[in-house]
Amino acid sequence: MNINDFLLSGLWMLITLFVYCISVFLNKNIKVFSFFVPVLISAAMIITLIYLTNTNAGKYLYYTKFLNGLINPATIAMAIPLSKQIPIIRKRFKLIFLTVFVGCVSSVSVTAFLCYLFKFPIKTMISMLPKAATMPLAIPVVDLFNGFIAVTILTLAVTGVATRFFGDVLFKFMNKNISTEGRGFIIGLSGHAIGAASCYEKSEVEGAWASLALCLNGIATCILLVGIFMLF
Amino acid sequence: MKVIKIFIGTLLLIGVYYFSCYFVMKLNVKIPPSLLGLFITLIFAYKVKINVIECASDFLTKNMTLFLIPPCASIVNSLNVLNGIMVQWLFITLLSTLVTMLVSLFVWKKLR
Repeated sequence: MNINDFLLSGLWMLITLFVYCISVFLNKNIKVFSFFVPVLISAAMIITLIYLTNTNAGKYLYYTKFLNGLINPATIAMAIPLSKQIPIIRKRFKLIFLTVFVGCVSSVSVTAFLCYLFKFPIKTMISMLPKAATMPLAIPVVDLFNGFIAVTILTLAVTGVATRFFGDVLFKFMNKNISTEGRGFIIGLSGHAIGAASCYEKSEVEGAWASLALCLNGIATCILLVGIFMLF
Repeated sequence: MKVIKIFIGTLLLIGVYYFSCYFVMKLNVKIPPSLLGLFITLIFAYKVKINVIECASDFLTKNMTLFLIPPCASIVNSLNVLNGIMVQWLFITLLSTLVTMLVSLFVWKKLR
């Protein structure tokens, strides 16, 4: 990396940080933006900037590789909040374990079956399988098995937004037949961080259960997919 | 003081990540190193409380989306992958999301 690249790297990282701060502000204060997580708003803004400045998206990724590299320790850091939830997991182990297991298997199998039905190329199928896992866990798996990260990101975004929509309709229809914990858990399980963010808007308890579900389902989906890909 | 704690904690977590990378490479297995690192940290965190790691974890998990912006923004380079299969891709994503929600809801309600 020469001095020019070093300066451009610093500049793009500062721009990304600035855009992220704006996105968090918009997400918290303006209703239209509350439907999306800050990462999607930021990505849209950065794509616009890349287009306006005539920068190659690959170059942008190269300039911000330090920022992007921090996703690995951040994923590992998820272990700390998860370790605090262990007493809850132990207390309701059967309920949590079976719901995550069934949810994870159904998400992967239904997606795989439909991809097979529509004769999708294997690489596209691999990219779509971790659709219910959280992004930091889904991306390394797809990367490891040479899938398309772009397809994974888009699939995760649509899944998250769809979960919010389906959740609102489904739970309205069910009225009071489901507890706050259950609502949070189901939304977090199928809608990862985008779903969990919507749960936090409703209540702290719903959000905590959604976070627990997104962590557990992310891990379960990774283990399942690594197992499947190693077998075939 | 908090900044130093976050810095040291992040360095420790990066150390765990590189240890996991080394382990995965030596064992020659296809596991994402971050997943292995997560398990190692989970085992340690349950037994021992390390203040610096807790500080770093709080900071990193709260700002996790910031680190995901670069790969998300670079998707413009490979959107052509979905050319011609966009409608099917959307249908699969929506249907499997709905099925996953209904199935897990059913299990939750049955077991509760």
